[in-house]
Amino acid sequence: MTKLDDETLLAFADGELDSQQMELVATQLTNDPEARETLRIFQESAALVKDAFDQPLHEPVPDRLLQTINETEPDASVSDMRLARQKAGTAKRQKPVFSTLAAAASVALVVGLASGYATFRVAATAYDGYTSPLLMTNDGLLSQALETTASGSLFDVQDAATAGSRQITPLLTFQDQNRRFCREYEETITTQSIRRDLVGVACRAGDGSWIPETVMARKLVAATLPSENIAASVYVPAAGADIAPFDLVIDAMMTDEPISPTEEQQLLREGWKVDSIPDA
Amino acid sequence: MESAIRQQLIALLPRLRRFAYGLTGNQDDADDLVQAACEKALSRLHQWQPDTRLDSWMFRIIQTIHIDQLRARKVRGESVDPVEADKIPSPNGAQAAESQHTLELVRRAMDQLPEDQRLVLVMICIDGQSYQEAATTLEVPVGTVMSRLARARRRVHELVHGSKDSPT
Repeated sequence: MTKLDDETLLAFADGELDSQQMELVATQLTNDPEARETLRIFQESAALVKDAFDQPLHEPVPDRLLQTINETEPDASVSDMRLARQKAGTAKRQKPVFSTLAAAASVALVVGLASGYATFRVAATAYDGYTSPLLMTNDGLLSQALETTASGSLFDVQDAATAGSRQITPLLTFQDQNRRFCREYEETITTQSIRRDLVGVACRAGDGSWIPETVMARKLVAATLPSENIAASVYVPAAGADIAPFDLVIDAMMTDEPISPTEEQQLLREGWKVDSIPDA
Repeated sequence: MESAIRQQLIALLPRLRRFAYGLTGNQDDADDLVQAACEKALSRLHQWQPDTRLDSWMFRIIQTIHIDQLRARKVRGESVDPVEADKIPSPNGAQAAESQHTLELVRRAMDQLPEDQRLVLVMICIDGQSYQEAATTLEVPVGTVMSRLARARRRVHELVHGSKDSPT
């Protein structure tokens, strides 16, 4: 008969063996006083450790923890950041890079997001470059969303093609150098197996379709956060900060300041006619 | 969804506090740790997937913060709070006091374990996780978890009984 080793006895004490192994070990134990003593040590130590730290289960939870849970607000979403900027941004936009930093910092303040400062610095390294997984030229749902939805409003629709859903929020409307209307948007695509968050810019073609110019997957809003990334998550920028480099794209495309909500209303109403904007 | 998660977090609090108490060995530090973890989780809710377990996510956050704190402490050259000897009630013959004394010895023994052994004890003996769950979270083979756990339990036994048997 083989001697029962520590690992087997430990697994036996913790109920980690299957029922056949459990029975086998139980039989062997009857003839092995030394193994019985080891088992007793493992069982007793587990029980002692459990008892020594069970006080929190028998007392009320401190108020300060309840307060933290009830009062901690999620970091601002991209939409919040953009909309705050659009509202604040009637002043002419400054040069790129500088304006990007300034805007992000001031918006962070507007939404009371002090952590935006601390984490903003590392945004550039965390940013995974522009990817264009969804630069489809014929995306009916995207066109429909951008053609009809005001900035900051959610266009939420089931997508028969993928048996999932798409949630599109236009964020900012502007005109590019070719006087096309372009819109920045935030999108969450959900299928049965994945969830993907992205930010994109699409511009309106003459026929009323909206064609994505660039799309950035938001790496930091991963579908699942595997445990190995938890340590790295210490350095995850505040939500919104990770799209800051994307501003450079918009700055490069945009001729003037963003279109105001009032002008945008008019464009939505009148089907995006260029002369909807009086002083364009 | 958000208010549902807050409710779930509140329901998890006793377990989270016990887990953090096991890690820190001190109830005030444990509550600070749980508080920091809740703040982090709620401000980063977009990182949590609703179809995964909230408790596992919270335990990982607590562990990450705890490990960061230990590292920071090491860098600053601070020592881990020792359990003060005068906190340990001396046995007075009454059974309740005797068992209180034993449990205090257990806590003191835990405090002397290397961090990796302590962690598996907390995960498995205090929180009741399986070997596999602990191995996955710690990113080590199950065999490593088991050998740490066996060493930790023998050490706790020695420390508790060694102190008990020796004259005071």
